[in-house]
Amino acid sequence: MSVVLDLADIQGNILEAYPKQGYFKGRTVLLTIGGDERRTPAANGRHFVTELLPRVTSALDSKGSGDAAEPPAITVNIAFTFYGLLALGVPTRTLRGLPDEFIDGMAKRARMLGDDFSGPKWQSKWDKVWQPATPETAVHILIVLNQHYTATPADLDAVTESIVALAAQHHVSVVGGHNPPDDPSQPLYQDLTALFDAQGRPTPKEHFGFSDGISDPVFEGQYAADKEQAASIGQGAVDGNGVWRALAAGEFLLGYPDEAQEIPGSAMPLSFSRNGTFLAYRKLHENVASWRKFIDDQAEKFATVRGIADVSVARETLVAKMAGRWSDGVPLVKAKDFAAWQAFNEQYPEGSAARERELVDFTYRDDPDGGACPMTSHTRRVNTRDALDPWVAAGQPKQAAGSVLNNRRRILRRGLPYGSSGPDTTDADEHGIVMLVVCSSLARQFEFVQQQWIHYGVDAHAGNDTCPIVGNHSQGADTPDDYARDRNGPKAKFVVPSDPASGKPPYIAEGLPQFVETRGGDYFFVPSLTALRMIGMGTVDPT
Amino acid sequence: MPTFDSGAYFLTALIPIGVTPIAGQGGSASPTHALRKRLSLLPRGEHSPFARSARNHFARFVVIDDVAYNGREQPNTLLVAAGPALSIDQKYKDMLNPVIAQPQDHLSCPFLFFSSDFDAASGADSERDSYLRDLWTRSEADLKEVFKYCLGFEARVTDAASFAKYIADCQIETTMPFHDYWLDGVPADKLPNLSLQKLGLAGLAILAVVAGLVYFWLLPHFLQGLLGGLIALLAGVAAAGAGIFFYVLDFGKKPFPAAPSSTLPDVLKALYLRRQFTRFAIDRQFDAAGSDEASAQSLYDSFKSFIDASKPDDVAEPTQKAGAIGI
Repeated sequence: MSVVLDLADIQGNILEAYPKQGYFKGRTVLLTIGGDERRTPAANGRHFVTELLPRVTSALDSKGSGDAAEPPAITVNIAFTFYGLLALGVPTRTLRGLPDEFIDGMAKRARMLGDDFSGPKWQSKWDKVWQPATPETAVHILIVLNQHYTATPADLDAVTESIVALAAQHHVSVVGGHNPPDDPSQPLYQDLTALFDAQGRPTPKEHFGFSDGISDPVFEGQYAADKEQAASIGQGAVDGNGVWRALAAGEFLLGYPDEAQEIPGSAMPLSFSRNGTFLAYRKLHENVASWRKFIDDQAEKFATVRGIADVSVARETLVAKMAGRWSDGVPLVKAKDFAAWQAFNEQYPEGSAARERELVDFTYRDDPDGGACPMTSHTRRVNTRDALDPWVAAGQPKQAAGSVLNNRRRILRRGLPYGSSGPDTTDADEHGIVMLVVCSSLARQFEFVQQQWIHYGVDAHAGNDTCPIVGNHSQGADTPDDYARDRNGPKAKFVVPSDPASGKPPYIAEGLPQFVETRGGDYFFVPSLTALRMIGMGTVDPT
Repeated sequence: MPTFDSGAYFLTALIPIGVTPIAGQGGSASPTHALRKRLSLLPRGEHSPFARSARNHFARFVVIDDVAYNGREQPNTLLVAAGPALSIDQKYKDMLNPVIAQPQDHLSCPFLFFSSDFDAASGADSERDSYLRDLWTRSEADLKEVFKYCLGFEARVTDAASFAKYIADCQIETTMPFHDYWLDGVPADKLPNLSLQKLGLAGLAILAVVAGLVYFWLLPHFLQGLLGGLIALLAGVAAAGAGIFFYVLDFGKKPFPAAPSSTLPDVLKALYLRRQFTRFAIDRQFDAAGSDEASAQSLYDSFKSFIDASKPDDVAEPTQKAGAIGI
């Protein structure tokens, strides 16, 4: 018997990303719970949660089934920080069962996450809303609203206003300020939007021009039993023989067996944790102008070293080598050079089902040295597939471990881009991605990938090189900052390996600037509908 | 002899720490407290006392307060289940009785665990002593600050030789060394070779000789026959088995050969060269891409100056400082 998930008890946007269900815009609202002589914060917060509960969108609602005949125009989802749960009066015994990293919150983990690239005052560069606060005034609640393509911005505003009004009745107030502290304009909410093409159609692009969100882990219970195996190809776990299966549900939802074949410990009672999960909210600013300038500059040098006549071909190739995929998402493993990419697109035209599958159905078994897809490229670092299989080169499929070292490090990405980036945009403009990372252990999954795979080069055989796109590039940067200078070493670099048979040397791009900057965020607990009800009623009983 | 393996000496010592309170800030202090504080203040990286040795790969101090207590000893549950019928030993009955306290093991004093691995030509004591004497000569003050909390140190250690003797007296056998410079495994021709075929033949020979000796020489006449044959065969098998067992055991004690270029100066030079070559490769990649004469000449010239400056054949210098960590 495989896992059957109770869709009506799990919040939306976990099992399936909203943007893939027709929600291309969104908004995040941050709240803090207050109190006065008449009513404690716990009482206020509980009333708010209880009254909001009927509007919270479950995994069932967002599919347009269950009670709702159609998908909701605006989805409503809710999550809490540790201080939020403390303010809500969740019992101590439950609180101390929560994971250390969640209790710490994301700011305390900045050093380990590489978020301190801008120096010792890194947090002063975060948005105003994410500046240090006391436990009482910190962000307690995250509300994520997503707008269906059939709905209008006015619908989104109306829902926002009604939730904010409901919160205000219970001394729960909006914490605004979604720009750096010195910016005179401080929006109350963080608006999110997919990027739209010239014809006004939504695209999966982010601001650097890559198609994003292609890899998306498939786990037990997401799909009907007869569709699960097909869905897991390229997205689940792979054994040494290239056979794919869905990942264990416990990697993404609490209360289920995980890839270690055990139900990991979680905050008690089980009904508080089960069907819930954790979420890292990361506002990642993209320095689009710096990116374009650096790539233009490097493309010419790359063309020279590799003997590529057409600089635009060199440009496309260089960014593909950094990402591990061509800008339209075609994996380098499937198309290792520009000509092969064009051929791939001819064979698998946009919109075809075969293309969808080709984009994800691959392993690194046949590219152990990264000649096609560099080991240090972004996608190969963050989703290593079978690349770390110690027996991959031994040619003994029976012994091979497949993706076993990757299976416990997968994350669900549920965010959307924000802002815009026209041809004349500057780094100071507001644009980037609000990344919503969902997994059942932030430390084991998200933080591991961020620390070990994005910021250490060891598993990629790349010394101290960090991820060329999202990594911390502060090493050796030309900076007046004492802190960064103290850590000065060689400048951040990225090596594009070459096929030894070509006789060409590898290309080394040096002096990568900081392309992606963390502008704030925190760790949140996303409870099940049952747990929300218990928190609201104050009946969380860990005894 | 695992204390010496693959060109490195693995020194392990357990040194007793004093238990008499010592004068500390604002009154008396426990020696382990003071020692732990000193260890946490030990300079790191290039300033570490161990970085001054040109042989030392790793060194570690651990303060061991006591042995862990694993809880009450439990009797064999099968015997207990059969207890009423078997009239089991009083010892088992006592084990099950929570009122009777069981003895616990404790150390008589805390110990300072010191382990270090360093380049050595052999496992001879002289290799260990020369390392310790050199360490003392280079880092006497730092070592005194650590070891002064250990029993008998101040009375016994006055110079490099007495320091070496003091540590040697506290040395215990290293049973599981770790050395990782055979990056791609040890090539078969470097491994001590053991032919199973020869071992089997030798075993058979021992068996035949011992069986023959027993049968024809040791056994009295009345035992000869089938029974005598069996006894002789058993004796032969036992002798052959014991011979093979002790031979294999002895064989296992043979140290691995040293990996090529795995001494500390070699490793430091390799790290230095890797950095310098990375710098060279970045700076000269455009010359390397060119196919014209001029860029080939330029690449040749710059590589020559790289070789001249970095001197790959000179292990001593230029090189990376011992203990340097980082980028």
